[in-house]
Amino acid sequence: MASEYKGPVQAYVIWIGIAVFTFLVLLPIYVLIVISFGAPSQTVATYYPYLVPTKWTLKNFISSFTGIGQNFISAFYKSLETAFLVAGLAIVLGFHAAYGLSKLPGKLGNLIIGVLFFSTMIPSLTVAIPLSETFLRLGLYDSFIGLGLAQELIVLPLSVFLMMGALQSLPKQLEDQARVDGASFGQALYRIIFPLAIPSVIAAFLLSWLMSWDEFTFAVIISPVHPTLPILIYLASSARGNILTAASFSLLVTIPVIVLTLVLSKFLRGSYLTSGLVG
Amino acid sequence: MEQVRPKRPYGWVAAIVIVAIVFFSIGYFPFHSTTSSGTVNIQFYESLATSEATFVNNTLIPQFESEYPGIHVTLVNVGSGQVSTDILALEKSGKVGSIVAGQDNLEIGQLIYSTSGNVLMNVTSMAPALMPATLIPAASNLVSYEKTVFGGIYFFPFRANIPLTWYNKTMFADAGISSPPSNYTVMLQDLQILHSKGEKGLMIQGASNLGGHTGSSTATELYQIMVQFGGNPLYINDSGDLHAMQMVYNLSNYFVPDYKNGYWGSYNGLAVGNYSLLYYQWPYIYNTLTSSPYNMSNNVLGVYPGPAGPVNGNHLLGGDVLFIPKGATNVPSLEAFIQFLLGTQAQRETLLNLSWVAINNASYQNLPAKASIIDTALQDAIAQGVFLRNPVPWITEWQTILMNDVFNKLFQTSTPAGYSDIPSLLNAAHQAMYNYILQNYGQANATLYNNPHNYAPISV
Amino acid sequence: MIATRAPLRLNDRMIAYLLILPAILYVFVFAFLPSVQTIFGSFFLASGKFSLYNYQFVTSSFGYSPIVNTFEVTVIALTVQFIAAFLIASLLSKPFRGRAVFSAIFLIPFGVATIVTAVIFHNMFSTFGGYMNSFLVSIGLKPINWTGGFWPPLIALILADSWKNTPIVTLVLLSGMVSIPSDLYSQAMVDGAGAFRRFFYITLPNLAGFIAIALMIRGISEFNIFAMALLIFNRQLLTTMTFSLYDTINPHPAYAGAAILLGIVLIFATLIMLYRSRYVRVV
Repeated sequence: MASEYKGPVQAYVIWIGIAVFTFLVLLPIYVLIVISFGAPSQTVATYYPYLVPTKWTLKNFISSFTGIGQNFISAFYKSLETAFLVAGLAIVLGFHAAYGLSKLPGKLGNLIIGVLFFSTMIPSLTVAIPLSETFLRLGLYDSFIGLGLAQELIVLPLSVFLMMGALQSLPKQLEDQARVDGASFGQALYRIIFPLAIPSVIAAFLLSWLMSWDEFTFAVIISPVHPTLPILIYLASSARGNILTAASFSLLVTIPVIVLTLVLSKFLRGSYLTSGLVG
Repeated sequence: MEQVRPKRPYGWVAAIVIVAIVFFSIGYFPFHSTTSSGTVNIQFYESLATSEATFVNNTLIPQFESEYPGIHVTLVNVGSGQVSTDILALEKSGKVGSIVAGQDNLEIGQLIYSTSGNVLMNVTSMAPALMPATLIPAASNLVSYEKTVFGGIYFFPFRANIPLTWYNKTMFADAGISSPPSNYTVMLQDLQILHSKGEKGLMIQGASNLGGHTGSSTATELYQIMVQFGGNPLYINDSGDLHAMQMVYNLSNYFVPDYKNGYWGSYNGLAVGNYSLLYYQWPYIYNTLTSSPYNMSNNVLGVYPGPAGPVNGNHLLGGDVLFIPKGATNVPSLEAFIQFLLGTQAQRETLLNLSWVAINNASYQNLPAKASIIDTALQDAIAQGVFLRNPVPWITEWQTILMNDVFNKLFQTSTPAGYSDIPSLLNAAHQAMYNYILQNYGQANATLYNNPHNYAPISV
Repeated sequence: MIATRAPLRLNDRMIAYLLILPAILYVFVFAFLPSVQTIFGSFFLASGKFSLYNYQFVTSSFGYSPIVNTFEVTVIALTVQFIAAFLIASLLSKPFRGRAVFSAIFLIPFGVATIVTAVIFHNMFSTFGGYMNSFLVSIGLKPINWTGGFWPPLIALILADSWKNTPIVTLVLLSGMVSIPSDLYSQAMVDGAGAFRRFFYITLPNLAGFIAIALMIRGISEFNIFAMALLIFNRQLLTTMTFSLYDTINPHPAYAGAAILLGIVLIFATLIMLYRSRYVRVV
């Protein structure tokens, strides 16, 4: 650990810094809770909203589920189906690609890594417009399968890098030993290597899941009729719904995601993100 | 490097996955299960505000289904302007299904001139049976128009929607103004008085093509003003258009800061006291402002048809039309639903509950004695005169050009152009529109465009 | 870090290729083909003619301000995010009680959906009222018009974007910081180097590789900022411009906008790659 300072003054600096950043991090969450549960006369129906409301109500939340809110359940399932498809594809395609890449000799491997990396750079909007045309012809427009396939583009390269980082740090002898002992390629891969890489696989799964859950650009162009949750929130924050509905939905969407993020933080080490790329 | 193995919360992850799978299965089947045989399922595509969608789902559709037990209607409420894209998508995929759609008449051109050609079903033969015996004049003129221009009936007028002008009666009274402005010159004077008395100013739909609302609100509002000054808005730089832009420039001295975000969803500033005059906004906001959470009373909330221009006081006729996409199935059920929506009962329900201007003349008989403020304003507006925007194929590009070359340069940039720049801005915009038509539609159409009598607004 | 690879047996090599193939195929079909379609489509008119007019239309209508605005937003956002990330990462690299809890808290914005962030900040930075103005008024300052002028809308967008995205930058920088051997710092302290000199001569050079990666990841995303700009920003960016050009009757101007966006992103990525290959020591 790079711990440079040991001194009481430095401890105060650290604590003040932590306090400031914690405040800044939690402030918008506080605003979300206030808008969702504060009496509208103190939040949205007034010129200067109260910084700390005195009147609280559950009515905003409950009335959010009429009208446009009835779409919440179907949007929730749309998001769910898409996210699982995206995350599943990410680890199926990504794990095998990561393993293959960790075995390839330098030049070719780096080339393929470069190609994968290049694909992350293509803006979603550039791809979404022609993709929606193609999907129309294939009957994938507005389906979660089409949307999942499109969103995969954002998560696949990152998943490959994550898993490659873990695979590369595994000692080579493990696999060689297994092969010497008579294991076939498949057995070596799935029985020996995969279990050791599970933390990074789970990290890739969760990361992909979260990114799909959050995704907006593809969803707004490819799947507008039966929207996913982010699109529903977007529609609700324009005059189709109202801000109270948008806030209620946002809260419902955010809480499980925060839980998942905290779980993810146990698996996600920055070293996974970077080891595949440094050098 | 030694590996410190932190505790992995496998248990949590497994629990989450199992819960997710359970919920997924529970939810999947109800939403994807097939309905009972014998019922025809039709879908009604529309773009409605929350209150309107709730009313359609809870009142209108049940009324229809009780009359026609074998038909089940599902409302598919999509985002604004989205109906065209979705219908086109279905057409291209080749599987249209049983669909009746309602589309803003301002955007119906997108489905007539689409890249797949005219995707509306020709309903001329059905029209006599489906349309009501008597239509309001604006609606029957619309039908005549489509017969002339398109050679048949492709869509039915469904409801009329006319933007109105709204104001805060208290602020006006405090400034000593007894009635809202009858024309733009008086509006300018009233705003000067309000300003001098410390009251708030004018709000317009000024978000232009910035932010998520893609520009049609502002362009449509300018369209109405230009028409009222005698101009052809699509031509961009005739004398009527010029005078209209100059008036807007003068009014801009009294714009409230919110105008930069203004679009068809901006209205709550009236309730919280952020502007005194709102020009203009669609009637749906009446129900929203007079109910929770804003609860405005009629003593504070004022509404009227709005100011007239020097040439006319014509109002933009918005509102939805109904159509059947080409290739739709179960057409007899679709016809039944259309007949219901255009019938006296449904038209009356939406007139009374949603302030939708009914196109069926018979709906106006035996109305409750106390006409609501909003209905009075709408009837007055129709009486003053209404017009339709000409549904040209390049309407989106016209909006882009008008916004980027004129409106943004005058009102959205941090280094705005001045009053004296207006003629040259309009000229440049006209030239840009000409070039676009020339490049994309050929010299013949470009020459047509250069005559301000072509593509003029349609009086109905 | 990377184990030396022994030459593979031939069929093992084949298997490796086979394993990579699905991913490559996917990227080809879903990334390259559509991009080619976009670029191709941008050169055609509604009438089917081959022409540069779409680009002319886009530049004559929008000028170069979307490009300039996109650069402004990207550069300022990256600066803010990196400064904040450095500060937070430095804090988190020191041991203190409750560090695990704070690491988890700082990761929360990463999980909050972009659109939710946009809704919250849009509300906080309303032109009238809004929580920011409430706060300013409560401490005796005048309210700010958040859609007016040059800085206020930019500040609102940057704050929203940075709140959401600083965690990922922090994560990358932190993983780099903990890999710097502490002896380097101890030696420097013995030699009398102050905090600033230690930062510029030890921390920064050793983090160059990580900075490049974070710049790449975040930079590309910044150019693609979309959902937040829709709700918060009232100037035209490349993404919002492309979205507003999208027209079901004539999609070609939108293709031109999308192609311009692609071009700018590729130029940026190439520059970062060049920086990395010249300044980053292979670890």
